[in-house]
Amino acid sequence: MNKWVKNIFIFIVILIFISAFSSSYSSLNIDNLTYVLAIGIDSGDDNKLEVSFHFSNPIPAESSASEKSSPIINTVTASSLSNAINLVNGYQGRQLNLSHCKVIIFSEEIAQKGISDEIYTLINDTQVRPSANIIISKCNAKYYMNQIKPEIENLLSRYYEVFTESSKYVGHMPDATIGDFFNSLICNTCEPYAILRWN
Amino acid sequence: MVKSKIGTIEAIMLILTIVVAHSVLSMPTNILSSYKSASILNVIYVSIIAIALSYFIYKLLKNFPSMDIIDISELVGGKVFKNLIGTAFIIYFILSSSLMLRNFSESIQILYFPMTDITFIITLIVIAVAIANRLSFNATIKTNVIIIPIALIGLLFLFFTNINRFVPQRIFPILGEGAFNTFILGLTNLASFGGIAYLYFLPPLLKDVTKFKKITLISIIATAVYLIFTIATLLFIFTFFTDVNEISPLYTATRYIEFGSFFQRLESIFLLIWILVFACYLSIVVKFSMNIFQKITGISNKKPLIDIFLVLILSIALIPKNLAISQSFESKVYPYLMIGIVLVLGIGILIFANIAKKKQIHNANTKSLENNSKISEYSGKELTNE
Repeated sequence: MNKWVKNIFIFIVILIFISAFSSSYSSLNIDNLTYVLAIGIDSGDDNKLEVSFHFSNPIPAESSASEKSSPIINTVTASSLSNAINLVNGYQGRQLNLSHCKVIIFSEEIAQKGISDEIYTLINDTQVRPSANIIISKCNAKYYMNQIKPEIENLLSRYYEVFTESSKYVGHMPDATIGDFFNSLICNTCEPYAILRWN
Repeated sequence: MVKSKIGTIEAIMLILTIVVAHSVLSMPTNILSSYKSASILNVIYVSIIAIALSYFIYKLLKNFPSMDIIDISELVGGKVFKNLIGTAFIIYFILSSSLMLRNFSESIQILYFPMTDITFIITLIVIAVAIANRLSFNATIKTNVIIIPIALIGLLFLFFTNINRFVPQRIFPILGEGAFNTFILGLTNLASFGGIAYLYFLPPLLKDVTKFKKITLISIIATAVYLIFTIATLLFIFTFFTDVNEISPLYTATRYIEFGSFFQRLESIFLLIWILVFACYLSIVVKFSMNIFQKITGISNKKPLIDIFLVLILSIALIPKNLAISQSFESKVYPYLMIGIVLVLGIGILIFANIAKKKQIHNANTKSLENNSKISEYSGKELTNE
């Protein structure tokens, strides 16, 4: 009898935990997430931001080796970066995930106004990696994202990851990560720097 | 009373568990935000004091071999005093561990289970600890001997893999916000050496009590070295922990480890190790609390206490409304609780006990001298009569 009660108790505990953690499984599932490869931030009307998200293209595995992925870029206008993420989450079927975001692009116009609010938002987001690069584009961030067409790399995600590698052997391209940028932004004796691109 | 005894290495690892578990939470952030560039200097200064204090504790405990602070407090002030001291230490252990469990669970929730209720995460850890505690104490201690070295190697790995990002100039200005802040206000940082509290209860648990000196010194020195490495890693990499409310600074540091594009995101491994460390820490806390409770109540079977203490931990962990409240306990209440109960009360009892023992010995000596002189007088008189 005692054994029966014990087994029933264990069964109930297992059931409770399965139901409790089931929401986590469904929300953090690869089928329910959209991976953002790059974020572009431009200044919009009425002091708002025009935020563009470059998504990874979910091509079937058989065709990925030969086909080049075409960019999927979604742009929203919002008062802040977090609002922009919420907006996209609102109308997209899948939840946005920034854990594979390799590049954050700011237009020169917005960079001149100051980007510390956006950097704070990004650094406090647990999904954003400190190794994501910061780019200041002379043109529009959205235009810059549309123009990226790597000739050697098949995958855009791979291109975003390796394009700063040249900083190891050439002086033209710095490796300007968001982690270093934020460190320098807060430090009293340092100056933050980013990659400047014309395109 | 205690059937399972622990060896030297096991005892050292037990003391180290406390600092490793605390360092995963906001303890390093509190040090860095309070002492800024003088954090390393402060940790070295506090470490010297902690080593001196633990040696002093060893010296005071030496006169009471195989006795813990509960037995000693009974000698000093009788049963009522023993019960009071026992209750104070149980409150300290349970309160600090449950609020640290809340902080740790909040971090796990933010990082991996954003959609899960915090109650379930805390309950899951508590159930794991309940199962571990149902086994013998040796099970926890031996798991500790495996997990803690891995955690220590992990810290060294973290230090050396991030060494290329280090800016050693961040230790300047060397005195941070001034000598008063670093050396006088900085004394509250003694709370980082929470392992000292467990030294009071170790002697009866040891296989060889003569090794207590070795255990005390090695464990506190190892704690100091661990703290210095932790603070150095964070201070040399980051400038921002004073401005950003990060979940766990060590976790943030692990996110910087990368070996090319193949070995990235090693933070998950670190988090797994820290979860195991935290489970061991809670097991130790429950075990020590049960031992104290058994001593003050005199109950024969302490196994039913496991569930009671764990339900207590679970309930206290659920009291804070949010992470900010439980973090403010860690930064504002815990240091004073530790210094008040562990250092002031603990050492105070030991000093009184030593004075009382010396008086007892002195009285016994004078009595025996008086007796001897009486005997000699008596025998002298008898001789003259004859």
